[in-house]
Amino acid sequence: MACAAYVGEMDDEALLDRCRRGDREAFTPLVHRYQDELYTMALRLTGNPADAADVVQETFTRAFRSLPKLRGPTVRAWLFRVAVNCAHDVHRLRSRRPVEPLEDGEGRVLDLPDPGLGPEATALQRERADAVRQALVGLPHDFRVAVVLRDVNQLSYEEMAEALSVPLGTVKSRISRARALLAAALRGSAVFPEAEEAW
Amino acid sequence: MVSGHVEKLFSAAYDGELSPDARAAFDRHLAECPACAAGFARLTTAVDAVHELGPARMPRPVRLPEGSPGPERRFPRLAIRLPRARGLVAGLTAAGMVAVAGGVTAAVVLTRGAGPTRSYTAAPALVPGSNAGAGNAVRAPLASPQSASLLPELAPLPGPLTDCSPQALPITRAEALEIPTGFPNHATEDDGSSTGVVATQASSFAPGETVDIYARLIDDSSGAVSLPCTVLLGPQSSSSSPGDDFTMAVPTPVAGLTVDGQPLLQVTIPAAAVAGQTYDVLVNPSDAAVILTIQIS
Repeated sequence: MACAAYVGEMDDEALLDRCRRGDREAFTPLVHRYQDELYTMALRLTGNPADAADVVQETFTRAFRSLPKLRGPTVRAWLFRVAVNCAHDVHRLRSRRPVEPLEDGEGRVLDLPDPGLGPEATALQRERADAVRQALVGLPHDFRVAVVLRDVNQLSYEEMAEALSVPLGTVKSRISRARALLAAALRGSAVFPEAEEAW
Repeated sequence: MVSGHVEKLFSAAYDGELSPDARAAFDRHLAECPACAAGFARLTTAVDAVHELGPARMPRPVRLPEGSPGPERRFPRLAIRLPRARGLVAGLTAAGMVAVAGGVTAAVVLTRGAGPTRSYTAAPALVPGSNAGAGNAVRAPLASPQSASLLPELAPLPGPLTDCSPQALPITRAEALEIPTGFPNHATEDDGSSTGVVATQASSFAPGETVDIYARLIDDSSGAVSLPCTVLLGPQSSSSSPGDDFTMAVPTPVAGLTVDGQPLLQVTIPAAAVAGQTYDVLVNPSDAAVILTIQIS
Protein backbone atom coordinates (compact mmCIF):
# COMPACT_ATOMS: atom_id res chain seq x y z
CA MET A 1 0.00 0.00 0.00
CA ALA A 2 1.43 3.34 -1.00
CA CYS A 3 0.50 4.93 2.28
CA ALA A 4 2.27 2.23 4.28
CA ALA A 5 5.39 2.57 2.16
CA TYR A 6 5.37 6.29 2.75
CA VAL A 7 5.08 5.86 6.51
CA GLY A 8 7.90 3.34 6.41
CA GLU A 9 10.20 5.88 4.82
CA MET A 10 9.61 8.54 7.45
CA ASP A 11 12.40 9.38 9.85
CA ASP A 12 12.10 8.55 13.52
CA GLU A 13 10.92 11.98 14.57
CA ALA A 14 8.16 12.05 11.98
CA LEU A 15 7.01 8.60 13.07
CA LEU A 16 7.14 9.66 16.71
CA ASP A 17 5.00 12.66 15.88
CA ARG A 18 2.41 10.41 14.27
CA CYS A 19 2.52 8.04 17.24
CA ARG A 20 1.75 10.99 19.48
CA ARG A 21 -1.33 11.56 17.37
CA GLY A 22 -2.44 8.02 18.06
CA ASP A 23 -1.41 6.59 14.69
CA ARG A 24 -0.82 2.90 15.33
CA GLU A 25 0.56 2.32 11.84
CA ALA A 26 3.41 4.74 12.51
CA PHE A 27 4.76 2.47 15.23
CA THR A 28 5.34 -0.55 13.00
CA PRO A 29 8.24 0.96 11.00
CA LEU A 30 10.01 1.67 14.28
CA VAL A 31 9.71 -2.02 15.15
CA HIS A 32 11.09 -3.09 11.79
CA ARG A 33 13.86 -0.53 12.02
CA TYR A 34 15.14 -1.45 15.46
CA GLN A 35 14.07 -4.98 16.36
CA ASP A 36 17.22 -6.70 15.09
CA GLU A 37 19.56 -4.14 16.64
CA LEU A 38 17.79 -4.47 19.96
CA TYR A 39 17.71 -8.23 19.71
CA THR A 40 21.43 -8.35 19.02
CA MET A 41 22.05 -6.17 22.06
CA ALA A 42 19.76 -8.23 24.26
CA LEU A 43 21.31 -11.48 23.05
CA ARG A 44 24.79 -10.28 23.99
CA LEU A 45 23.57 -8.98 27.33
CA THR A 46 21.58 -12.04 28.36
CA GLY A 47 23.40 -14.76 26.44
CA ASN A 48 20.07 -16.44 25.90
CA PRO A 49 18.02 -16.19 22.68
CA ALA A 50 14.65 -16.76 24.33
CA ASP A 51 15.37 -14.13 26.98
CA ALA A 52 16.64 -11.74 24.32
CA ALA A 53 13.45 -12.12 22.28
CA ASP A 54 11.43 -11.49 25.45
CA VAL A 55 13.47 -8.36 26.08
CA VAL A 56 12.72 -7.04 22.60
CA GLN A 57 9.03 -7.85 22.92
CA GLU A 58 8.84 -6.13 26.30
CA THR A 59 10.82 -3.16 25.02
CA PHE A 60 8.36 -2.49 22.23
CA THR A 61 5.39 -3.08 24.51
CA ARG A 62 6.73 -0.47 26.93
CA ALA A 63 7.63 1.82 24.07
CA PHE A 64 4.14 1.51 22.63
CA ARG A 65 2.75 2.76 25.91
CA SER A 66 5.32 5.43 26.64
CA LEU A 67 6.84 6.57 23.36
CA PRO A 68 4.16 9.17 22.63
CA LYS A 69 5.26 11.02 25.75
CA LEU A 70 8.93 10.88 24.83
CA ARG A 71 10.72 14.18 25.24
CA GLY A 72 14.45 14.68 24.90
CA PRO A 73 16.49 11.72 23.75
CA THR A 74 16.38 10.37 20.24
CA VAL A 75 14.05 7.46 19.57
CA ARG A 76 17.02 5.14 19.00
CA ALA A 77 18.80 6.08 22.21
CA TRP A 78 15.56 5.88 24.15
CA LEU A 79 14.73 2.41 22.77
CA PHE A 80 18.17 1.22 23.81
CA ARG A 81 17.57 2.65 27.27
CA VAL A 82 14.31 0.77 27.60
CA ALA A 83 15.88 -2.42 26.27
CA VAL A 84 18.80 -2.19 28.69
CA ASN A 85 16.36 -1.82 31.56
CA CYS A 86 14.30 -4.75 30.31
CA ALA A 87 17.40 -6.89 29.98
CA HIS A 88 18.40 -5.96 33.50
CA ASP A 89 14.95 -6.98 34.74
CA VAL A 90 15.19 -10.29 32.93
CA HIS A 91 18.61 -10.87 34.40
CA ARG A 92 17.35 -10.17 37.92
CA LEU A 93 14.08 -12.03 37.71
CA ARG A 94 15.23 -15.24 36.08
CA SER A 95 17.75 -17.71 37.24
CA ARG A 96 20.90 -17.58 35.23
CA ARG A 97 20.43 -19.55 32.08
CA PRO A 98 23.32 -21.04 30.24
CA VAL A 99 24.74 -19.16 27.31
CA GLU A 100 23.30 -20.81 24.26
CA PRO A 101 25.67 -20.51 21.36
CA LEU A 102 24.83 -20.48 17.69
CA GLU A 103 21.11 -21.13 17.81
CA ASP A 104 18.20 -18.95 18.58
CA GLY A 105 15.13 -20.09 20.47
CA GLU A 106 13.63 -21.65 17.40
CA GLY A 107 16.61 -23.60 16.25
CA ARG A 108 17.94 -21.19 13.68
CA VAL A 109 21.64 -20.72 13.54
CA LEU A 110 23.07 -17.43 14.67
CA ASP A 111 26.57 -16.10 14.12
CA LEU A 112 27.05 -18.14 10.99
CA PRO A 113 30.67 -19.04 10.41
CA ASP A 114 32.35 -17.75 7.32
CA PRO A 115 31.41 -20.25 4.57
CA GLY A 116 34.83 -19.79 2.98
CA LEU A 117 36.60 -21.29 5.98
CA GLY A 118 37.69 -24.89 6.20
CA PRO A 119 36.40 -27.22 8.93
CA GLU A 120 39.26 -26.48 11.28
CA ALA A 121 39.04 -22.72 10.88
CA THR A 122 35.27 -22.89 11.22
CA ALA A 123 35.61 -24.80 14.47
CA LEU A 124 38.11 -22.26 15.74
CA GLN A 125 35.85 -19.38 14.78
CA ARG A 126 32.96 -20.96 16.67
CA GLU A 127 35.18 -21.54 19.65
CA ARG A 128 36.26 -17.91 19.60
CA ALA A 129 32.67 -16.72 19.34
CA ASP A 130 31.62 -18.93 22.24
CA ALA A 131 34.47 -17.59 24.34
CA VAL A 132 33.49 -14.00 23.63
CA ARG A 133 29.83 -14.67 24.43
CA GLN A 134 30.75 -16.30 27.71
CA ALA A 135 33.11 -13.47 28.58
CA LEU A 136 30.48 -10.84 27.83
CA VAL A 137 27.85 -12.48 29.99
CA GLY A 138 30.35 -12.78 32.80
CA LEU A 139 31.03 -9.04 32.98
CA PRO A 140 29.34 -6.96 35.69
CA HIS A 141 26.10 -5.46 34.40
CA ASP A 142 27.20 -1.86 33.84
CA PHE A 143 30.38 -2.90 32.06
CA ARG A 144 28.60 -5.53 30.00
CA VAL A 145 26.12 -2.89 28.87
CA ALA A 146 28.93 -0.49 28.05
CA VAL A 147 30.89 -2.87 25.88
CA VAL A 148 27.80 -4.25 24.16
CA LEU A 149 26.38 -0.84 23.26
CA ARG A 150 29.74 0.35 22.05
CA ASP A 151 31.28 -2.70 20.40
CA VAL A 152 28.27 -4.75 19.40
CA ASN A 153 25.77 -2.04 18.53
CA GLN A 154 28.39 0.61 17.81
CA LEU A 155 26.60 3.46 19.50
CA SER A 156 28.53 6.70 19.71
CA TYR A 157 29.64 7.96 23.09
CA GLU A 158 26.93 10.60 22.89
CA GLU A 159 24.22 8.07 22.08
CA MET A 160 25.36 5.94 24.98
CA ALA A 161 25.23 8.91 27.33
CA GLU A 162 21.65 9.49 26.19
CA ALA A 163 20.69 5.85 26.41
CA LEU A 164 22.21 5.32 29.83
CA SER A 165 21.44 8.77 31.26
CA VAL A 166 25.00 9.18 32.44
CA PRO A 167 27.65 11.83 31.68
CA LEU A 168 29.98 11.40 28.73
CA GLY A 169 32.95 10.91 31.06
CA THR A 170 31.18 8.02 32.76
CA VAL A 171 30.52 6.43 29.38
CA LYS A 172 34.18 6.60 28.42
CA SER A 173 35.43 5.27 31.73
CA ARG A 174 32.94 2.38 31.67
CA ILE A 175 33.92 1.41 28.14
CA SER A 176 37.58 1.55 29.05
CA ARG A 177 37.11 -0.54 32.18
CA ALA A 178 34.78 -2.97 30.41
CA ARG A 179 37.24 -3.62 27.59
CA ALA A 180 40.04 -4.21 30.06
CA LEU A 181 37.86 -6.70 31.97
CA LEU A 182 36.86 -8.37 28.73
CA ALA A 183 40.45 -8.78 27.61
CA ALA A 184 41.30 -10.25 31.00
CA ALA A 185 38.29 -12.59 30.86
CA LEU A 186 39.45 -13.91 27.51
CA ARG A 187 42.84 -14.94 28.83
CA GLY A 188 43.60 -18.46 27.81
CA SER A 189 40.57 -18.68 25.55
CA ALA A 190 40.44 -19.45 21.86
CA VAL A 191 40.67 -15.72 21.22
CA PHE A 192 44.34 -15.79 22.32
CA PRO A 193 45.43 -19.34 21.52
CA GLU A 194 49.04 -18.59 20.78
CA ALA A 195 49.78 -15.88 23.34
CA GLU A 196 49.24 -17.79 26.56
CA GLU A 197 52.79 -17.54 27.74
CA ALA A 198 52.85 -13.79 27.23
CA TRP A 199 50.21 -13.34 29.94
CA MET B 1 61.47 7.03 27.19
CA VAL B 2 59.13 4.86 29.18
CA SER B 3 57.54 6.93 31.90
CA GLY B 4 54.62 5.11 33.51
CA HIS B 5 52.14 3.01 31.55
CA VAL B 6 49.28 4.09 29.31
CA GLU B 7 46.59 1.44 29.91
CA LYS B 8 44.04 4.15 30.57
CA LEU B 9 44.47 5.37 27.02
CA PHE B 10 43.98 1.96 25.39
CA SER B 11 40.24 2.33 24.93
CA ALA B 12 40.37 5.89 23.59
CA ALA B 13 43.24 4.91 21.30
CA TYR B 14 41.23 1.95 19.98
CA ASP B 15 38.31 4.28 19.23
CA GLY B 16 40.57 6.83 17.56
CA GLU B 17 39.65 9.40 20.16
CA LEU B 18 43.17 10.62 20.90
CA SER B 19 44.31 13.89 19.41
CA PRO B 20 47.12 13.58 16.83
CA ASP B 21 49.69 14.72 19.36
CA ALA B 22 48.40 12.38 22.03
CA ARG B 23 48.30 9.50 19.57
CA ALA B 24 51.89 10.16 18.51
CA ALA B 25 53.00 10.16 22.14
CA PHE B 26 50.99 6.98 22.74
CA ASP B 27 52.62 5.22 19.81
CA ARG B 28 56.08 6.35 20.93
CA HIS B 29 55.37 4.87 24.33
CA LEU B 30 54.23 1.55 22.90
CA ALA B 31 57.38 1.39 20.82
CA GLU B 32 59.46 1.61 23.96
CA CYS B 33 57.25 -0.32 26.41
CA PRO B 34 56.64 -4.02 25.62
CA ALA B 35 54.12 -4.37 28.46
CA CYS B 36 51.88 -1.61 27.13
CA ALA B 37 52.33 -2.78 23.56
CA ALA B 38 51.21 -6.29 24.54
CA GLY B 39 48.34 -4.90 26.61
CA PHE B 40 47.09 -2.74 23.77
CA ALA B 41 47.37 -5.68 21.37
CA ARG B 42 45.31 -7.85 23.72
CA LEU B 43 42.62 -5.22 24.09
CA THR B 44 42.50 -4.71 20.34
CA THR B 45 42.20 -8.44 19.73
CA ALA B 46 39.48 -8.81 22.36
CA VAL B 47 37.38 -5.92 21.07
CA ASP B 48 37.85 -7.04 17.49
CA ALA B 49 36.55 -10.45 18.55
CA VAL B 50 33.39 -8.78 19.90
CA HIS B 51 32.91 -7.03 16.59
CA GLU B 52 33.23 -10.38 14.83
CA LEU B 53 30.12 -11.69 16.57
CA GLY B 54 28.07 -9.70 14.12
CA PRO B 55 24.36 -8.98 14.15
CA ALA B 56 21.58 -11.40 15.06
CA ARG B 57 18.02 -11.37 13.83
CA MET B 58 14.92 -11.17 15.99
CA PRO B 59 13.58 -14.72 15.73
CA ARG B 60 9.88 -14.02 16.18
CA PRO B 61 7.49 -11.23 15.27
CA VAL B 62 6.91 -8.47 17.78
CA ARG B 63 3.32 -8.33 18.94
CA LEU B 64 2.01 -4.88 19.74
CA PRO B 65 -0.73 -4.11 22.24
CA GLU B 66 -4.19 -3.32 20.95
CA GLY B 67 -5.24 0.23 20.32
CA SER B 68 -3.20 3.33 19.74
CA PRO B 69 0.29 4.16 21.00
CA GLY B 70 -0.03 5.65 24.44
CA PRO B 71 -0.82 4.74 28.02
CA GLU B 72 -2.87 1.66 28.66
CA ARG B 73 -6.53 2.38 29.14
CA ARG B 74 -8.32 1.37 32.26
CA PHE B 75 -11.19 -0.02 30.24
CA PRO B 76 -9.70 -2.59 27.92
CA ARG B 77 -13.01 -3.43 26.28
CA LEU B 78 -12.63 -0.30 24.18
CA ALA B 79 -9.23 0.21 22.71
CA ILE B 80 -9.19 3.81 21.70
CA ARG B 81 -7.92 4.94 18.38
CA LEU B 82 -8.05 8.54 17.41
CA PRO B 83 -10.68 9.34 14.86
CA ARG B 84 -9.70 10.70 11.53
CA ALA B 85 -10.33 14.38 11.96
CA ARG B 86 -11.35 15.01 8.38
CA GLY B 87 -14.01 12.34 8.30
CA LEU B 88 -15.37 13.19 11.68
CA VAL B 89 -15.67 16.89 11.06
CA ALA B 90 -17.16 16.29 7.65
CA GLY B 91 -19.73 14.01 9.17
CA LEU B 92 -20.62 16.50 11.81
CA THR B 93 -20.90 19.31 9.32
CA ALA B 94 -23.27 17.32 7.22
CA ALA B 95 -25.45 16.02 9.97
CA GLY B 96 -25.00 18.17 12.97
CA MET B 97 -26.49 21.55 12.27
CA VAL B 98 -27.43 22.97 15.60
CA ALA B 99 -29.66 25.84 16.48
CA VAL B 100 -30.07 27.58 19.75
CA ALA B 101 -33.79 27.37 20.26
CA GLY B 102 -34.19 29.56 23.27
CA GLY B 103 -32.27 32.27 25.00
CA VAL B 104 -33.23 31.22 28.48
CA THR B 105 -30.38 30.46 30.80
CA ALA B 106 -31.24 28.69 33.97
CA ALA B 107 -29.02 29.28 36.96
CA VAL B 108 -28.69 26.59 39.57
CA VAL B 109 -26.74 26.87 42.78
CA LEU B 110 -25.49 23.63 44.24
CA THR B 111 -24.24 23.28 47.76
CA ARG B 112 -21.92 20.45 48.70
CA GLY B 113 -22.03 19.67 52.42
CA ALA B 114 -19.61 21.81 54.34
CA GLY B 115 -17.52 22.37 51.29
CA PRO B 116 -17.44 25.34 49.01
CA THR B 117 -20.52 26.39 47.18
CA ARG B 118 -20.27 25.41 43.57
CA SER B 119 -22.40 27.35 41.20
CA TYR B 120 -23.59 25.42 38.23
CA THR B 121 -24.99 27.56 35.49
CA ALA B 122 -26.76 25.76 32.72
CA ALA B 123 -26.38 26.78 29.11
CA PRO B 124 -29.14 27.51 26.67
CA ALA B 125 -30.78 24.33 25.52
CA LEU B 126 -29.37 23.02 22.29
CA VAL B 127 -31.81 21.48 19.90
CA PRO B 128 -30.74 19.31 17.04
CA GLY B 129 -31.41 20.65 13.59
CA SER B 130 -33.13 18.98 10.68
CA ASN B 131 -30.57 16.19 10.49
CA ALA B 132 -31.09 15.68 14.11
CA GLY B 133 -28.73 14.33 16.59
CA ALA B 134 -25.48 13.34 14.99
CA GLY B 135 -23.64 15.95 16.97
CA ASN B 136 -23.59 19.41 18.32
CA ALA B 137 -20.25 20.56 17.09
CA VAL B 138 -20.33 22.49 13.88
CA ARG B 139 -17.61 24.26 12.03
CA ALA B 140 -17.83 26.61 9.09
CA PRO B 141 -19.00 26.67 6.40
CA LEU B 142 -22.42 26.76 7.91
CA ALA B 143 -25.51 26.03 5.93
CA SER B 144 -26.80 29.57 5.86
CA PRO B 145 -26.17 33.00 7.33
CA GLN B 146 -29.20 32.46 9.49
CA SER B 147 -27.84 29.35 11.10
CA ALA B 148 -24.49 31.05 11.51
CA SER B 149 -26.12 33.82 13.44
CA LEU B 150 -27.63 31.27 15.74
CA LEU B 151 -24.24 30.00 16.77
CA PRO B 152 -22.36 32.99 18.09
CA GLU B 153 -21.26 31.24 21.23
CA LEU B 154 -19.63 28.22 19.66
CA ALA B 155 -15.93 28.71 19.19
CA PRO B 156 -14.41 27.10 16.10
CA LEU B 157 -12.74 23.76 16.42
CA PRO B 158 -9.07 24.18 17.21
CA GLY B 159 -7.76 22.68 14.01
CA PRO B 160 -7.39 18.93 13.53
CA LEU B 161 -8.74 17.09 16.51
CA THR B 162 -5.50 15.43 17.35
CA ASP B 163 -3.67 18.75 17.44
CA CYS B 164 -5.92 20.60 19.81
CA SER B 165 -4.45 21.75 23.08
CA PRO B 166 -6.39 21.51 26.31
CA GLN B 167 -7.30 24.91 27.74
CA ALA B 168 -5.48 25.79 30.97
CA LEU B 169 -7.73 26.44 33.95
CA PRO B 170 -6.79 28.54 36.98
CA ILE B 171 -7.76 25.97 39.57
CA THR B 172 -5.83 23.56 41.75
CA ARG B 173 -5.60 19.81 41.43
CA ALA B 174 -7.74 19.36 44.55
CA GLU B 175 -10.39 21.65 43.16
CA ALA B 176 -10.36 19.81 39.87
CA LEU B 177 -10.87 16.48 41.58
CA GLU B 178 -13.79 17.79 43.59
CA ILE B 179 -16.65 16.52 41.49
CA PRO B 180 -19.57 18.96 41.52
CA THR B 181 -22.53 17.69 43.53
CA GLY B 182 -24.77 17.69 40.53
CA PHE B 183 -22.53 15.25 38.65
CA PRO B 184 -22.74 11.92 40.47
CA ASN B 185 -21.88 9.77 37.44
CA HIS B 186 -18.14 10.12 37.22
CA ALA B 187 -14.91 8.33 36.32
CA THR B 188 -11.25 9.06 36.91
CA GLU B 189 -8.27 7.81 34.98
CA ASP B 190 -4.68 8.05 36.14
CA ASP B 191 -2.12 6.85 33.60
CA GLY B 192 0.88 7.61 35.75
CA SER B 193 1.71 10.99 34.31
CA SER B 194 -1.65 12.66 34.15
CA THR B 195 -5.05 12.27 35.69
CA GLY B 196 -8.33 12.76 33.93
CA VAL B 197 -11.77 13.09 35.42
CA VAL B 198 -15.15 13.19 33.72
CA ALA B 199 -18.62 13.44 35.22
CA THR B 200 -22.19 13.80 34.10
CA GLN B 201 -25.34 14.75 35.95
CA ALA B 202 -26.98 11.40 35.40
CA SER B 203 -26.10 7.98 34.11
CA SER B 204 -29.08 7.73 31.78
CA PHE B 205 -30.03 10.08 28.98
CA ALA B 206 -32.64 10.11 26.27
CA PRO B 207 -31.88 10.44 22.55
CA GLY B 208 -31.54 14.10 21.63
CA GLU B 209 -30.92 15.09 25.22
CA THR B 210 -28.08 17.47 25.96
CA VAL B 211 -25.44 16.25 28.38
CA ASP B 212 -23.41 18.70 30.40
CA ILE B 213 -19.98 17.28 31.09
CA TYR B 214 -17.55 18.12 33.85
CA ALA B 215 -14.11 17.18 32.55
CA ARG B 216 -10.67 18.06 33.77
CA LEU B 217 -7.14 16.96 32.93
CA ILE B 218 -4.38 17.23 35.52
CA ASP B 219 -0.67 17.07 34.76
CA ASP B 220 0.59 14.99 37.66
CA SER B 221 4.09 16.45 37.56
CA SER B 222 3.12 20.11 37.56
CA GLY B 223 -0.40 19.92 38.99
CA ALA B 224 -1.63 22.10 36.14
CA VAL B 225 -5.30 21.66 35.36
CA SER B 226 -6.84 22.00 31.94
CA LEU B 227 -10.11 21.57 30.15
CA PRO B 228 -9.95 18.72 27.64
CA CYS B 229 -10.38 19.79 24.08
CA THR B 230 -12.04 16.64 22.81
CA VAL B 231 -15.07 14.75 23.98
CA LEU B 232 -16.43 11.90 21.92
CA LEU B 233 -19.70 10.14 22.43
CA GLY B 234 -20.76 6.91 20.86
CA PRO B 235 -22.14 3.43 21.33
CA GLN B 236 -19.95 1.12 23.31
CA SER B 237 -18.28 -1.46 21.15
CA SER B 238 -15.27 -3.67 20.94
CA SER B 239 -14.10 -1.83 17.87
CA SER B 240 -10.59 -0.49 17.90
CA SER B 241 -11.76 2.82 16.59
CA PRO B 242 -14.66 5.11 17.32
CA GLY B 243 -16.74 4.90 14.21
CA ASP B 244 -18.82 7.34 12.27
CA ASP B 245 -21.54 6.94 14.84
CA PHE B 246 -19.42 8.80 17.36
CA THR B 247 -20.11 12.47 17.83
CA MET B 248 -17.91 15.13 19.29
CA ALA B 249 -18.68 17.63 21.99
CA VAL B 250 -18.11 21.32 21.63
CA PRO B 251 -14.41 21.41 22.33
CA THR B 252 -14.40 24.85 23.90
CA PRO B 253 -16.62 26.11 26.68
CA VAL B 254 -20.22 26.78 25.96
CA ALA B 255 -20.97 30.32 27.07
CA GLY B 256 -23.09 30.36 30.19
CA LEU B 257 -22.32 26.75 31.07
CA THR B 258 -20.07 26.77 34.09
CA VAL B 259 -19.40 25.25 37.45
CA ASP B 260 -17.86 27.64 39.97
CA GLY B 261 -17.23 29.99 37.12
CA GLN B 262 -15.22 27.34 35.28
CA PRO B 263 -16.29 25.93 31.94
CA LEU B 264 -18.12 22.72 31.26
CA LEU B 265 -18.40 20.85 27.99
CA GLN B 266 -21.56 19.71 26.31
CA VAL B 267 -22.66 17.02 23.93
CA THR B 268 -26.01 15.88 22.58
CA ILE B 269 -27.12 12.27 22.58
CA PRO B 270 -27.72 11.36 18.94
CA ALA B 271 -31.38 11.04 17.99
CA ALA B 272 -30.49 7.71 16.45
CA ALA B 273 -29.49 6.31 19.82
CA VAL B 274 -31.67 3.42 20.89
CA ALA B 275 -33.09 2.96 24.34
CA GLY B 276 -31.19 0.31 26.21
CA GLN B 277 -27.89 0.99 24.43
CA THR B 278 -24.76 1.68 26.42
CA TYR B 279 -22.76 4.68 25.30
CA ASP B 280 -19.21 5.71 26.08
CA VAL B 281 -18.20 9.27 26.75
CA LEU B 282 -14.53 9.53 25.76
CA VAL B 283 -12.64 12.53 26.99
CA ASN B 284 -9.43 13.58 25.30
CA PRO B 285 -8.53 10.26 23.69
CA SER B 286 -5.03 11.46 22.85
CA ASP B 287 -3.96 12.04 26.43
CA ALA B 288 -5.11 10.50 29.70
CA ALA B 289 -8.27 9.24 28.10
CA VAL B 290 -11.20 8.84 30.41
CA ILE B 291 -14.21 6.77 29.52
CA LEU B 292 -17.52 7.22 31.25
CA THR B 293 -20.40 4.90 30.58
CA ILE B 294 -23.95 6.15 30.20
CA GLN B 295 -27.18 4.42 29.34
CA ILE B 296 -29.68 5.46 26.71
CA SER B 297 -33.17 5.62 28.13
